[in-house]
Amino acid sequence: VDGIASAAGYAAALIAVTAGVIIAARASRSSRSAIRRYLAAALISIGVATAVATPETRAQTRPLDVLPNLVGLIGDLFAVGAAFCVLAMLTHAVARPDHVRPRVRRQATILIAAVLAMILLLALSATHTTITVASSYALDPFMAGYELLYLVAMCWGMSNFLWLVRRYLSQDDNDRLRQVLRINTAAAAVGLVWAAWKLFTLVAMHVGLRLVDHAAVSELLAALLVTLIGVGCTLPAWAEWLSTHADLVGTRRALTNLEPLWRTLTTAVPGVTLPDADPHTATLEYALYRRIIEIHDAQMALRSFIHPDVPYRARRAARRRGVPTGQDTDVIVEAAELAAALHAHRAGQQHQANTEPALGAPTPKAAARISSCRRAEDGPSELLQPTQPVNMCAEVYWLIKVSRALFSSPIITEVLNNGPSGESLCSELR
Amino acid sequence: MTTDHAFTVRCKQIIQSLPIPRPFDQQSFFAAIAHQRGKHIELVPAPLDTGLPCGLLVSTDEVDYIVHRTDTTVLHALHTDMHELSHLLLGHGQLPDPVATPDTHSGADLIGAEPVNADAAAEALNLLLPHLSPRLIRRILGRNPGRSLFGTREEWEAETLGSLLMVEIQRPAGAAHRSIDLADHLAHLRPSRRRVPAGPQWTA
Repeated sequence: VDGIASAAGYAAALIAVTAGVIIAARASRSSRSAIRRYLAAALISIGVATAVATPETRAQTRPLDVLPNLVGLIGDLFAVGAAFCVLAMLTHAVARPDHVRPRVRRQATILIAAVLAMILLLALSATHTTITVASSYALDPFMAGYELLYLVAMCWGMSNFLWLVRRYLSQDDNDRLRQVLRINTAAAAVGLVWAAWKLFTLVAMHVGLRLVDHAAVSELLAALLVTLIGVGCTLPAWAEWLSTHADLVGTRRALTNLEPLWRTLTTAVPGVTLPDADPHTATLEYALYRRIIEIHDAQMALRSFIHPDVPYRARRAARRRGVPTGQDTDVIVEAAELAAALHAHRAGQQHQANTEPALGAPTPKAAARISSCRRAEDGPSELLQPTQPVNMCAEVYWLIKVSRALFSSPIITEVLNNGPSGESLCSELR
Repeated sequence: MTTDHAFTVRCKQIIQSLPIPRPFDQQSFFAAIAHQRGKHIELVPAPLDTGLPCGLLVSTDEVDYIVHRTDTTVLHALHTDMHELSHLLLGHGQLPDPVATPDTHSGADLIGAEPVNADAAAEALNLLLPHLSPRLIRRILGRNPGRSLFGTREEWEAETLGSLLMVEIQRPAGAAHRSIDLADHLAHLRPSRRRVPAGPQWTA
């Protein structure tokens, strides 16, 4: 149990100290750097206190205890210092500017008094160095006083912090702050359980109850508390970092998934590719965006090569094979249109009425062109209707489904093989 | 076309100067750009036939008309609008004098570097913008995926700026600027503290 408590304590300490360092590193960017400094100091202090309090550290540092339980005292003083930093930070956050300095001075005075009192009480307690000093000497009035003073300082810091979170930050409609709020509320709940456990331990000792592994329970609760505080204070920054990297992974995967469709289409219509992007421009999201647009441009360029019967045949084949109507069938239809258009393009067979180059001839008149386009919208050719995806993610999702259908759906094979000319086209695509 | 870092830098400067609403709203964005330029921009969705450009920029002294196809996805249509807007932002295709007659539309700039038939171009414009006299047209540029899209420097620039602009508007608000931690929130409490009743005293 001591091993688990130590491991949890070290992990929590690492999280808290890292969080403190991250916050301190950003201090120069903030005009309210006092708040940032106190928050960083609180996190680093509580991290150090947690690491020092672990059974493993206490065992390893026993030779350093020139005075009985000196290392334990140092750890506790770091924790009390963290509580002071929290109070000072909150004072800077909400007190009137002219009240800040006197209040922080008063708090510092109380801190010094508490520190001196703890040192004095420990010295008077006449303890011997032990990992479980609080419980071993619970019946010692000086040691009990030491523990009570320590708990009061910690609870005072925690309750003020919780009050601030509930009172001020809960009014903010920022989603990230709400995450912080939830985590810090959880931390405060664990902190109260930790304080209650410590108090219960003291009382239990006084009434003669023997508790098994109570120190390890206390350490585990403290580790959980410190972890939640460390994560909660820096979660928005971490979440953003994680989210950015998750987006990069998603973008890279989307690029890979769209590669076959994009390559096939841009090989057929090479003019749609934007040449020579500046390497400084070519971020992954830019590359993905260009890929989507180039696919759509190629689809548009290939429209006149779609045989008018293809959508009908694709729908019929999809229905026969039990593909649900709606988006799944639409994907099949679009893939079939692409497959047919690619083949016709290779064969140089335009199927739509305007087989002459666009705007290349005085007739048919533009009126006829537009009305034929309207007919095409209402008719069987349903490629790229405006009711399809609106944003980039939806476009990617849609195009990946089309790509998969184009390259692997047996329905496309069937549609192509039963085409007007009966050609087998699948080998050209795959 | 050569790689052009200087142009990319220019694009980023242009994008930074634009009043991009968050969340993005196309109507208010184009209205703000029009206000910034002091010239009205009219978006004209049109059911353009297959083979016609997927977008057109038709400029008069008073109005810039941006025509996009209706038979494509919303993202693709918006990209077309951004491409045409980029021509405006980059000052492309300015003609010295208004076009005299429909016959003088060589159409050479209608779809990039591709020559087009003047009559067909004039008829298409008559249908799309029937109230617009060809005499008033000062500039026509088009985006046509059926041809070599980016055969001219101007088309390449407009496509690049349009794409960068589209990537920018799809970023969530503030995503590129900074991350916020608890200290930032605490630091912003002071300006609003008067709205909140005084809390407990921090000192014992």
